[in-house]
Amino acid sequence: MMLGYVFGGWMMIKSASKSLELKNTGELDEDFLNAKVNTSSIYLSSILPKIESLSSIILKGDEDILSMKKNWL
Amino acid sequence: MLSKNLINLDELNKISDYQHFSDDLVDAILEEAGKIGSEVLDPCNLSGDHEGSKRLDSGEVRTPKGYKEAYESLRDGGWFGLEAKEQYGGQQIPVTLSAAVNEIWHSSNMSLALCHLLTQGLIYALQKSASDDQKNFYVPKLASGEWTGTMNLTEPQAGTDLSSIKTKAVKENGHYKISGQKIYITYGEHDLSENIIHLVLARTPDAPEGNKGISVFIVPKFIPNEDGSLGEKNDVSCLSIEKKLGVKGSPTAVLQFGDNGGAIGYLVGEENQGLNIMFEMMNHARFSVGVQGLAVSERAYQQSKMYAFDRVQGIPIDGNKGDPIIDHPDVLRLASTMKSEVEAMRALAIYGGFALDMTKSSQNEYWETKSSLMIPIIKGWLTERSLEITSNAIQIHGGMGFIEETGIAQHYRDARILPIYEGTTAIQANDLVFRKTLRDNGKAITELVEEINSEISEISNSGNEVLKNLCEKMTQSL
Repeated sequence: MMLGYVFGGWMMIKSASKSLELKNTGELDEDFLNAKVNTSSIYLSSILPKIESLSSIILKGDEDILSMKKNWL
Repeated sequence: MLSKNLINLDELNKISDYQHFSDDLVDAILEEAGKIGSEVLDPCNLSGDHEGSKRLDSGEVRTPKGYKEAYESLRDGGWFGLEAKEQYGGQQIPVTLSAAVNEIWHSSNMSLALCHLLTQGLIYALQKSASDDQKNFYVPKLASGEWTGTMNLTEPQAGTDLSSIKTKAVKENGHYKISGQKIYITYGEHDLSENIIHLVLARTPDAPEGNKGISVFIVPKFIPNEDGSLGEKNDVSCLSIEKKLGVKGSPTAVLQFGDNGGAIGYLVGEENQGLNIMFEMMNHARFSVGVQGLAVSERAYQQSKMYAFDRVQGIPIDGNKGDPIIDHPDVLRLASTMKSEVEAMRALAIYGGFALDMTKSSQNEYWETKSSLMIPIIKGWLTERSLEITSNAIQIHGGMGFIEETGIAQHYRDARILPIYEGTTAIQANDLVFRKTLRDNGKAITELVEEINSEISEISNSGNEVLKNLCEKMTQSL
């Protein structure tokens, strides 16, 4: 899951970078390109940070979960 | 448009299979697909969900009203053969493009599109692993859409773990007799095409135990004559159609093979090669399911956007009476985060499709590694995220979202199967960690991360402040 978010972020950066590059060529509608850059920023500020919690959970380990006894469930 | 810039489409032209591929082709195909999606597939989507597919006492299965016409449009337009090889009558277009077309099919009507998806899977499997005779005989009719395909693996006691399948295959004069029960067979029985070709996993009597003793067979619903015309009905029957949470229009069958002596089946490849053959098509199949996740998310997003721009409720902060709910920051938040995630998902899907295509290029090893790594991520992430995205879509609709009539609830329900079938998310994770990471001591993944890192620093140093900021965030996360 984490890798999904990270790779998604990679795609969005590529997208933002290409959009800014294309802005100067006039090939595509500027409004569309601005939208793309904004969407990428939203991804990086409002979606990607979720991995911080995911990684801390993964790194803390599963000891507690593995210690849960079946008859306690 | 932008997808053309994210990946290097020219690279695809260099691949001998795809020399006919061009930008104009992309535009033409996508435009036509869009029309068919909205005019032909979508009209029976919601109604099909409410009607569902039904098994009659005769054992026949009726798909919802409109499905037959929609299937015929896809068939007559040549859409079943989009990816199939030209020598079998297909259009041989790259996965990169067919992924975009499939997104359109599955966002218009996932239940119906599943028939197309399963048939593509069968075409792919046969092209990879069947004998020349088998390919020449079966693939053209599948590519033309005259016949449709199914995958028969699961049994009541064997789902995620196929090693305990019990279906038997006994050799007999040039073919095998297949007997056993398969469940969860998508489009296992229906009233759309004149024949259904089942691909079935079964064990021969002396086969070794477990995964090493599984073989795979072609089992047609109607045994074809040598000239391709339909012969006798084979010994396969549909015992029931499941009542499901979602994709209700898609008939999910329990199939009984060999109640009357055994169904005739034709071995594909060698005995005991069944799972290897299935694995060869696994990447492609899992990738397709990832695209389904993208498709349903996009659909849900589009509908909620329409609703949010229309519905008036409360006065947005800094707004006016009569403003639509999209002006409420919280709704804006939901919509914009959904949009952003869907775009990231789409980019990843296009990139994954490109990687699959490039495995046919001169740098096939590099792309094999890359696509193998990305597929479990694409399948796992795109399908899991579709659950929250379709849920947010309902949230934007408020109370109306909970009412079936608006149609948004259907997408929430349809999405739920996606993280489960074709390998649960846990299995994708297992695949990623064991087969794709630990096996080579993390070499492939480390290389990929390094590649991403260097691309990010290149972009960061290109001089644009906005990009620099974005890159910093990305680097932190890496």
